[in-house]
Amino acid sequence: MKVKIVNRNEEIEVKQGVKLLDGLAERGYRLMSNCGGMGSCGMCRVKVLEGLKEPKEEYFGPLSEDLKKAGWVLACQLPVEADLVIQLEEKLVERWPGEEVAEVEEPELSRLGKKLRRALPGFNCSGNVCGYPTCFAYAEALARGEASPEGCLPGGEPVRAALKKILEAEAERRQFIGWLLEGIAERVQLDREADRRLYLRTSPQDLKEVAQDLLIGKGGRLATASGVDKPLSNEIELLYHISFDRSGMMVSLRTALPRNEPRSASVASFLPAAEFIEREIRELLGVEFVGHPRPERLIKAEDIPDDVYPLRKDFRIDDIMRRK
Amino acid sequence: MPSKIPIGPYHPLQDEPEHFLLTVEGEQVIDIDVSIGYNHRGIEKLAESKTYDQTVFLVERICGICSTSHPLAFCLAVEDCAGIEVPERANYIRTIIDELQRLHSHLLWAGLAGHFLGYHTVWMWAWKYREPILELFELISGNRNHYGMMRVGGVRRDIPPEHYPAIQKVLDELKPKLEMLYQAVLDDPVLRARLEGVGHLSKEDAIRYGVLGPTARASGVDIDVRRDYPYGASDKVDWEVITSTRGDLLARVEVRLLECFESIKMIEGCLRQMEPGPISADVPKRIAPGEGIGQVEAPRGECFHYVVANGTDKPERLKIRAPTYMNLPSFRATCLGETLSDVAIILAGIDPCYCCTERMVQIKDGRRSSSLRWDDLIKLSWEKTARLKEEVKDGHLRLD
Repeated sequence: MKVKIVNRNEEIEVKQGVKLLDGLAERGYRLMSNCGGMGSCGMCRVKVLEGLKEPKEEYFGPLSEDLKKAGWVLACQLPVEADLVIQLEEKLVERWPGEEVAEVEEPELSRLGKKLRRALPGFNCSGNVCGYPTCFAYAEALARGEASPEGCLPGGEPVRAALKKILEAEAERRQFIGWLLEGIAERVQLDREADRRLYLRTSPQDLKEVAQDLLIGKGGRLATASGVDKPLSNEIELLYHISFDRSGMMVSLRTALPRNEPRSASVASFLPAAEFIEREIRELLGVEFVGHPRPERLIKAEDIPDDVYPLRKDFRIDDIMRRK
Repeated sequence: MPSKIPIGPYHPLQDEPEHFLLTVEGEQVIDIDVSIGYNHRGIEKLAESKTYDQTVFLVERICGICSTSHPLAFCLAVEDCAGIEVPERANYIRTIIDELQRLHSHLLWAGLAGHFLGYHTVWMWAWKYREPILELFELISGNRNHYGMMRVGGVRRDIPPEHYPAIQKVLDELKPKLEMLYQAVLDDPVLRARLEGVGHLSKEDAIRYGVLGPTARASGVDIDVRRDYPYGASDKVDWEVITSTRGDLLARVEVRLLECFESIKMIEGCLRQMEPGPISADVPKRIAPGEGIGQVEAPRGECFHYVVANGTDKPERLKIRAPTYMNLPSFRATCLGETLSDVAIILAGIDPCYCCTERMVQIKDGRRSSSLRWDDLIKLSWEKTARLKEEVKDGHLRLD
């Protein structure tokens, strides 16, 4: 079917029966839709100039009588059954075809730099005092340890104290990370970090020993584990979230298992706190935990076969229905 | 000769579908097996097909008691992932809602614990004291439960300053009642006999099973998300983490009741300190690829959400872990060696999560006359919210 958009005087091809909102999105016309296509917010409305046959009640949703009379309908509810001529509400179009997302003007700062920047006054002293052209550059230099927190004279004592406090907290954090990686440093990679988060990557072979070191040796608390199915890279990612409560640091230890035969050494074999969650991951994602003390079903409904894993991305409800 | 006693999945005492298989020798419990999953609703899978905004409402429906813990943890996780700064006032409002919820939840539990022990006075009293808090929620959010207050980037509704006196009044009236309840529980020889030394969980076992919240703190494990991973205004107001080293049921009662006083302190601090300002940040509809973790100290312990974003407006993966999930397996440590008659209160001792539905049946002249329909319930609810607001305006709020 052909849909003509009068705003741009352009004609696009949309498959018959497809909802207009989806058809437009496919061609790069992204309309705002707060409710996500439920037909309740009214933001994806378009004016149909020609081609609307037998309008149904659901096409209008929350639209006012005036709008209805003027020919506006909800694009998320209207299936394209004939050629249409439509007009879009310019201010409700989130993105036009070919339009790029506007770039952020602020320079990209490091994690610590961002924190320091927030404490700085932003007077724009143009580097007359601290020697850096902007507060961004000064914050970044502080984060790298190249500048002194005493440099910000315009901010006065409160700003300098705030900078020192942030830098001290960071030093403490570094010390914690140093202690955390003692003895396991060559078996893990620091994947990502935030103020109170640390993501470590390890190999499936090393997982058990590293987890044992963190949980038993260093006294971490197992908050939980989670699995993420990643069909694109053909792997299942397994994460153990280990909390070091007194330091306020959540350490997520992750490893990637091959999707066709996901096997991992069981943490529950030495820590009962992991028993339930490993059983859950086993039945919902199909990861086999070697050495688990009780590899039995825990939460999956009885009518779902053993080898159907609902949390995998390729799971379809028919997988259950077909076998009944 | 050991025999096996199944409890659940549906039985008159524990309202939730959980199955316990007790192995007993005479009166003594020698083994316990826990099965869960009767109520698994696939919310994690469902979240993958909902937008971030919709998911907040979805996860609020996980629990009917700590109904604000899940949306708050989810919002914190998304904010952690996208690096969103929450405005100051929203943080204070989050803590007020969170702590009011803890008050009502702990009182609910205290009542249920009394009920399980056959001590119905405690039950009735605790629930009577809980009622004004639910009415406060109705005043603030329009609902006794499922407040719908949280959104990614802040809160949905402000608490107008003219409501502060009503909140303060409820807290002021609650304090002496809580004090009385606390002393009454400690003084009563029968209650002490049922609670002291029963269902003991050692610190080592508490750590091994990874138990959370009051259950952990009653066994001397000094953890509290509000202090360790501050959220809302929990690092801006004065309060203390309550712990006990005894590890028995009495300690769990004590910890929960004393925590109520700390919650009151926190709410009062928030009311004193919060200033006018925006209640929500601008949040992009699509969240850039990344991952984030949100933790909230729910009344039963740490509520944990892990979100993976993929650049669209829907999460790639949402992992939810409620506190009872970690607390349940500890039954294997607490029930063994105890007598059958104590098992009910030990099972209740971790405060497994219940959901209560109210206002379902209309009673006229002591006889059930008709069932209320959904529309009637909403109408009743609206009328009551309107009445409460009217009373606040006139300055004589009647929260009874």
